[in-house]
Amino acid sequence: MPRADLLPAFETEISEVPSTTNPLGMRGGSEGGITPGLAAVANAIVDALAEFGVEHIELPITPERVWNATRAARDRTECHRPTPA
Amino acid sequence: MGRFGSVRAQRRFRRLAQGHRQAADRLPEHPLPLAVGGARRHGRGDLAAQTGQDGGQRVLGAGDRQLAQRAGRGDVGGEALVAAGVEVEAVHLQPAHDQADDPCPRRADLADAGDFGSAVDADRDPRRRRSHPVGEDIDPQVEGLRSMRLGSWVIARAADAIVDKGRRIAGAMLEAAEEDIEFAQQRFVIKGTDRGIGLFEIAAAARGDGIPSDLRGPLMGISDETMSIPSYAYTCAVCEVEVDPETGFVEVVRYTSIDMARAMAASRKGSARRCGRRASTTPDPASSYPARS
Repeated sequence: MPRADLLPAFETEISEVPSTTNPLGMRGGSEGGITPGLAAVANAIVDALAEFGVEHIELPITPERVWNATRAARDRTECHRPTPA
Repeated sequence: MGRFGSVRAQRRFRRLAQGHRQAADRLPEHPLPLAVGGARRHGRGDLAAQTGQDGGQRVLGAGDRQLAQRAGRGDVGGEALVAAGVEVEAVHLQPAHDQADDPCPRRADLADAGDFGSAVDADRDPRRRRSHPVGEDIDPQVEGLRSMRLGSWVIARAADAIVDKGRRIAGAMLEAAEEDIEFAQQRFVIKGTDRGIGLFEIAAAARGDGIPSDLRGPLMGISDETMSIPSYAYTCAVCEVEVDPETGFVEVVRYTSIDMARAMAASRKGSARRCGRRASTTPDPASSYPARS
């Protein structure tokens, strides 16, 4: 379970790009911004594990899943490695 | 289909708006302005909304709840009523009801209503409402981010109507042309002078005999808006992680996200607000949105 001490420090700024489809320039909040966050974190983890041959990992990305994915990918790679003659 | 759907629905909505005006008239002598607005919207998540402003004494009565519920039974998808004070004390959003016989809409979880901002009030007790600047009561069918847009726009327009009427009253009281009156910081002032009247004084005067008869009555505004064009936030997120392959432990080293939108409930901290102003290259729509007839 992630806790606050696992998060980096926050810096926040407001960057406003008003919507043109309503008079007050409003856009929806919350879920619109959360969804790509999950993809960004998951993609970063897969990218970090690419050298082990990991191509996909399911959410939630627990240490156990990372460890298993790494092991499975490595085993798969070793299986396919041509045996020396 | 016209702007507000069927003729029948329009007629019903006019009746509802009239009911709100009458409810406002029934309120006891009140020093604060009272605005009554109506809005409706089509499509999924249609809602009926109502708001009461009472300066801490009472909120528009239970009858308005019934009106709003009745409004939700529209055959064109839905209608909304919003009655708002200049200082909005509570906003209540209810869905259009497909089940016309259901007398009591379900109440949303606080989490569902959270889009409206930090102040969420799911309690109908007026004494508790006063503890929040803006309260909200949303059915799970109503998505906060949609109802927020509609509610904000309706309230803004209703507030505009109050200012317009207040300007006319101020013109009559100060014996100045209406065009020469400007409204700023809760005061109507004759341009270029320091002569002016406060908003609440105008509201109190509007109930008396000292002003032209066509301006007498509660200082209130009606707003009737349809908002059917969707608007969605778009976001970019970039993340950097470090993974320990021995333990599987992941550390988020850096994460950057940009959520393009207009800040509705900006931080109360002055720094954040200033930051937003500086960062924004566009004019503030809240002060420059186009006037509509």
